[in-house]
Amino acid sequence: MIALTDQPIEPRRAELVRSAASEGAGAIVTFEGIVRGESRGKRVTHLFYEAFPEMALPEMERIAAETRKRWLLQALVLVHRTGKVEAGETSVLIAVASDHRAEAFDACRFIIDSVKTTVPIWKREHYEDGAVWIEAHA
Amino acid sequence: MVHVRLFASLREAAGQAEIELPWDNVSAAKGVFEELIRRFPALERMRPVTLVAVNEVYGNWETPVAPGDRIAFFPPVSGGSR
Repeated sequence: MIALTDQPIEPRRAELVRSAASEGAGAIVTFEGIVRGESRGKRVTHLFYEAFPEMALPEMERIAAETRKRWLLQALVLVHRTGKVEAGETSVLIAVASDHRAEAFDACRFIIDSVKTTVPIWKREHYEDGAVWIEAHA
Repeated sequence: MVHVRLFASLREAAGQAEIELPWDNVSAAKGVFEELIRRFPALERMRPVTLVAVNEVYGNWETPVAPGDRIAFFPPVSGGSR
């Protein structure tokens, strides 16, 4: 399951993680990115994620394929929010299932690191007194 | 024609998300961006951080462009949270 969504992930969290389960999977590792309520000493009211969907989704699929080449996985779930996301909400959810835990931990880490460097989604941080684009290496 | 899309801070600098440009023998993505700078000078200062995609695949300044191509310019990505 690989998707972009403009709807909150939390109500579907249990279902999404559980969808990675199978008899062969001895481990599911999950990662959730949460919007922090504070950044650069300022209170963050919300983020706005702008995506290039026609490229972001194929790029997420490419990362999934690359991950499956490196680790033997039973399942891979990757869901990223777009649009307005409030502080405290989940911006990205990853669930990886494998026979044993080591592969799932490593694969999960690889996926989030790749997502942050190659998936064309940009983040604008909104404060009480303005907003700025947060670009990689910032 | 080539179809240009701009995202995030580049979109804001240009004040436009989509632009149709005459192809006009532009051979590489670099030439398309130079034409954009002529129209939207604010893009000039974004050049050092700008990434290029041609037909939804990452490229670079030298990636060839042909009539009908979809060319996107955007800043470094920041998906997910840190």
